[in-house]
Amino acid sequence: MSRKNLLSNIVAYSVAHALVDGACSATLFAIIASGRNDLQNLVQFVLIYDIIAFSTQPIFGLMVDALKAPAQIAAVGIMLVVASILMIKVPLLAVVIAGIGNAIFHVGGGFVSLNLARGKATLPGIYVAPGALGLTIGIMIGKSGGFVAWPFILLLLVSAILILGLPKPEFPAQRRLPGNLRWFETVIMLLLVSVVIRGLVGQSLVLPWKSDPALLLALTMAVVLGKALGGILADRFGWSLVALSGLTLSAFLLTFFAPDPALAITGTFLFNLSMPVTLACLADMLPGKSGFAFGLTALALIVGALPAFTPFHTLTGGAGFIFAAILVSIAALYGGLRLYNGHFRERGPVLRQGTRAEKNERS
Amino acid sequence: METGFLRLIGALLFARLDGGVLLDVAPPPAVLAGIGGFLLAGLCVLVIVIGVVAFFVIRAVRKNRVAKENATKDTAPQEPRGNS
Repeated sequence: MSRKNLLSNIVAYSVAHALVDGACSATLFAIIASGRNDLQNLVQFVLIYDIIAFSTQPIFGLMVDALKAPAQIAAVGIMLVVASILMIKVPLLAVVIAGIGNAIFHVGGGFVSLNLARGKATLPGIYVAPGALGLTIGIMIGKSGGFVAWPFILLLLVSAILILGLPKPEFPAQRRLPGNLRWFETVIMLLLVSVVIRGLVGQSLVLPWKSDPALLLALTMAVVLGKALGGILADRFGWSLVALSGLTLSAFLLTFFAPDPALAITGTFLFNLSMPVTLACLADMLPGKSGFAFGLTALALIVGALPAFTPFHTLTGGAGFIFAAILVSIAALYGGLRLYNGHFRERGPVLRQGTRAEKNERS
Repeated sequence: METGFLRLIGALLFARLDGGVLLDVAPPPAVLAGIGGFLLAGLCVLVIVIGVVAFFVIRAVRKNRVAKENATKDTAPQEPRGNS
């Protein structure tokens, strides 16, 4: 596939990702800001949306893997998000449809990003990163009470048309999974444990200065840059090195320096470096099931985030708990990547193109 | 009555016709809490069901790989065996 086609695909899906997440969160918070729904309903709506948007992704991912038409599926997801905006007067329906649309779009784009350059973490990282920015901006617009539907609808329609008009990516042939299958489930389980903890920490972390819009934007940019650069750095210097060192440093910064915005923002950046690695590694473990692999990480994220919606959030928000959780995440990711490198990583020509990554992984 | 989600469901369950006129009956708070709890439980069940489905898909991927490997072994050219 030409570099131009690759770039146009990843840029279009990444921008659409920010738009979809922005539109969904703006719709959700516009419903809440309208004052027609009390606090209890607010929590219910957020929970319904999150659970539908995240937990159904493995199922829709299987659909994308079977149909092999990610652009069309992503466009359907975008159209459902448009429909949810139009149904804002019927809050429950709007929330459910937004959740389904969001899930469908995510796996469509996830499938493309994982298959454009198989076995690499760069593109999945770039695709996932802008979602956090869209989410923050969407929440700000929704909460402000100034939500206007038509700009969102217009931008979403344009992005759907662009995605449908993109040159069709040429996906590489499905690889044969090398290695000893004895560790197959163990590797997947360890990677998912690491993602569950990322969801748990991300949802439980208490950062009191987040109410300042400028700092909130800086925090969001740290998430975006962490995910986007995480993949690039990991492919260049080695998955284990970048993901594990990032998590280790973030454990200290997020636990002991959370009240300090500069250090906590740095910690958030480092914490997110591992995201593209877990995603690319999981997709590599499930050849031909990239959509499903992408969905699995989303399911793991919501499983991790659920305790924050329960009375357990007082426990999970404690500094000691956060520190211990990140340490468990480091151990799980270390074990998962070590087994993956030892038994499953392809040693073929794809990864022997002069990058430092493989040398670092071997050493 | 507010058109909040839980209240709406509560009203649907509790509203009754009285001489052809729909009475707007506010459900008791315990019922609202019950509906909320039921909803949360339902969402958690959804997560668990999808988790179980995902587990079986992962198992199927592994079994498929083992089956392919066995098929390859069966069709692979055998090395000529000597007398030794």
